[in-house]
Amino acid sequence: MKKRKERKWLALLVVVAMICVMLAGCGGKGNGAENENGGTSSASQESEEGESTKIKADEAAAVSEIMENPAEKIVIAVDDDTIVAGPFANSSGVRNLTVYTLWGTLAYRPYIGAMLEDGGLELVMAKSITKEDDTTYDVEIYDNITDSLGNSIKASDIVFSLDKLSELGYITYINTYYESGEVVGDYEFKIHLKSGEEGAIEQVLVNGTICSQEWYEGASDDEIQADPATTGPYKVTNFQTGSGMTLEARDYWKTNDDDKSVVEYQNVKQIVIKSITEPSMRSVALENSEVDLAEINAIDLERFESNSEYHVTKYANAMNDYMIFNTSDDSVCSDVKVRQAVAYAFDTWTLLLANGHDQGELHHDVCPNATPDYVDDWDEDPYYEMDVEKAKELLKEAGYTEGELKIRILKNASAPNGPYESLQAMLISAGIDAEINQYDRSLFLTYMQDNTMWDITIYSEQVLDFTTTYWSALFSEKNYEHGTQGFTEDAELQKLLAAACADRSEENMNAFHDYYTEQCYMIGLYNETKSIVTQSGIKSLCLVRGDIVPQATVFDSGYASVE
Amino acid sequence: MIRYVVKRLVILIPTLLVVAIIMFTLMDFVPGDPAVIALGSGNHTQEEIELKRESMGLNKPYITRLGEYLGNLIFHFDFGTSIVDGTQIKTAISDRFPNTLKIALGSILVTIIVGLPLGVRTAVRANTWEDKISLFITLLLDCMPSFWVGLLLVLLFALKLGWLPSSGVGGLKYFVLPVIANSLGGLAGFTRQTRASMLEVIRSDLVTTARSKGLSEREVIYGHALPNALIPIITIVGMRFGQMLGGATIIEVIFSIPGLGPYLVNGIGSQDYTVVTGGIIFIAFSFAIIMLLTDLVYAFVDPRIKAQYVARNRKGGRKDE
Repeated sequence: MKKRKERKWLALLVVVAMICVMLAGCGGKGNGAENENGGTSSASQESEEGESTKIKADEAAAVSEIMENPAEKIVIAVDDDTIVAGPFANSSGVRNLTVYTLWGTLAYRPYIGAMLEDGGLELVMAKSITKEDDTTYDVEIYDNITDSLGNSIKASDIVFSLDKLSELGYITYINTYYESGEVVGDYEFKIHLKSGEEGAIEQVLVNGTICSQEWYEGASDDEIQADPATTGPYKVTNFQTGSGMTLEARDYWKTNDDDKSVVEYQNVKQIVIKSITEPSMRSVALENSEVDLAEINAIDLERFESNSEYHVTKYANAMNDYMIFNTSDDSVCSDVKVRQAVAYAFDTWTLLLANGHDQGELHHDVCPNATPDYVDDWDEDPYYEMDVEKAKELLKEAGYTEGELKIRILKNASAPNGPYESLQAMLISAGIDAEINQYDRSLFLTYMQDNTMWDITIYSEQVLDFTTTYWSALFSEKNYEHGTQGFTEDAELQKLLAAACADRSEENMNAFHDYYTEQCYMIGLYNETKSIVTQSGIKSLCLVRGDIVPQATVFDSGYASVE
Repeated sequence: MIRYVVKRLVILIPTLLVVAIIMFTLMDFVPGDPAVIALGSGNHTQEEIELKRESMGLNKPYITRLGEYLGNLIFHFDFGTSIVDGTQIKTAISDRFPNTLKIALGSILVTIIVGLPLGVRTAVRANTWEDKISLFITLLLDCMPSFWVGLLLVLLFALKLGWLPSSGVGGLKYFVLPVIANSLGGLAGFTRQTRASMLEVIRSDLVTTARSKGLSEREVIYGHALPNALIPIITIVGMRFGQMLGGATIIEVIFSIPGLGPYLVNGIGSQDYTVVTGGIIFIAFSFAIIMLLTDLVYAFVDPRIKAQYVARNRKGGRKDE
């Protein structure tokens, strides 16, 4: 009997021990971080001083400041496992981070709206660029450019690279604007554009990654993707498919720092890129000192903001969300009253919160206010602020009783569910029955071009230079088979757009903005604020148009990487 | 025996061909345009899409494309290139497969090393407190989702204790946590299967005979009962190992291990038809090989099965004569 009792106790003890071991990993995350890393008092002091949290857009420190304290190594966690090092590739998280680190281009755009004509564009491989006519440019490149294997880069290599990029179709802007290249000398060539549209040459100069033709044609597929002869300031020394890569500063052909664009700096000898797709694991990797820098989800941010061991850098996401109405006859949104009813039925800030971000910027136009031609007064104007009563009234005027109108929302499966579910709930409470139809990316893109498949959708675009360029991409009938992205066939809209594009006077800008806003063809929504957390020895990040330029990171003196 | 292996390998060819044809056809019927995917984000004119379709060979008839695909697959073991990033699928698979294999092998080893003795022990001591505790623990482990266990292990061993890295690949230490997280769930089923199989054998006449011959209990259990109970256990190990070669997706995502799982999931998410088709054909191939190996292990474990193969071969040989 006694033995049986002992066994029971033993069994109970084992169970308790097991549960304790299991739960040991749970909870206390904040405390752990605080105890190990300095506690909350110093962190709050840091916050008061305003040093730990900054919102950045286009910002690059002066060359002297950047190069003051070079570092040996930096380990960056990225949320993308499409590790590509080759010269020609689609845009992706890792690609955007490393494209200028590994590959030379003719020029670099240091801020939104930087143009060739006004000297805003920084020349990288190009020595001079002269406009011959609206669609032809004469380019002279430096005569001492070499790649990481020592191959010299000539005009023929540039034309080959642009032709190849155009043929492969990875960069939309190259396809859209680049017609052909014409070699006129060893280091001179002409670029022929498809159109003389403003911003066209900039897109070709900035997006055309250059490699040696001889190397590219002689290399195996593996070499091209994993061990390329780079033309940028770094070379690939280690490549692990789907996991990461290591880049090392190479003997760069441009030696004078003052002649260099920010993307040509080599302020850190080694850049290690680690793919950590799971957001919570990036936070763990930072806390576990496995990485120096990582983008962090809003939910994890608090524990870094309140810790002096880390710096938090906030920046505006380069992608801007906007709502498109299908205005074709196949949609209920062909009626302006219906579109306006929908616009008044939801609150944009709630959508942003539902997207998992508690900070961001609400838009008053489809284009964000970061462009040089943006009219600041628009931000003061009321812009479809949520008014359920007004929405119901408009619905009534359109001839619908409450609950009668059904709206089909087209959703990309890879987009977060929160904003859509939140939108659906708000529309339903305003008497609009809304259904979300979710499709994977390819099908979403296919159905976006089918006016029978949806009534409203949310899409995002990156702003490059001007408001007018952004508008053109969305509204110009040249880009769409049926009018605009929302199938709007409206001669007045096109006339006003053409006028604004031809002359960006405030009057023309206002005319187009007011017209399409009143017609409610599309509504600007928001761009969220994203956060990058770094170990505290990293003084400042160089962020250009929402992308980190790792080679221009500013370090504290004697910074030692975590690895 | 060799003839049997060769025969099984030959049968693999039509199996894989059928898998390839089904996959290619299914992916061809999936709505959505690969040319649009290949062009990437942004707006594209109809003309650009058409040009892309032409350059990708999508305008060719289905039969021509299928023929070209199968030709490349059979004669060059070439799965084509990803339509999203243009990388060679063969290279991506060969880079990623070793990581998946390491997790699969490690998990199977942990499962066998822990589960086999535990299953035998609980069978021998059936219905005692040891058996009940083992049942409780294994059921508990079985109920815990592997991603949750993975996160707990990271919090404890990486974040709190700092003994092991939380993610990525490198030396063997990077695989310790993923292997443990991946094997715990399977361990429960394996232990229970071993127990059930052993119980059946322990109650059979051969064990009574062995005991009556005066053999020690250890010899009876490990020398006579266990080999006879191994067939269903080997089946489970084979099946689980085969499945794991397809990628322990959740574990690979949590621990940022570039294995086959995330590759396929990303391929499906971005409708990268060639990646999905190539990946699944490769998995089918791996699974078939593992099943073949499992069959061969049967022969080594059970002399009756080996005798059957030999007898069949002899019969076949006489016919030939």
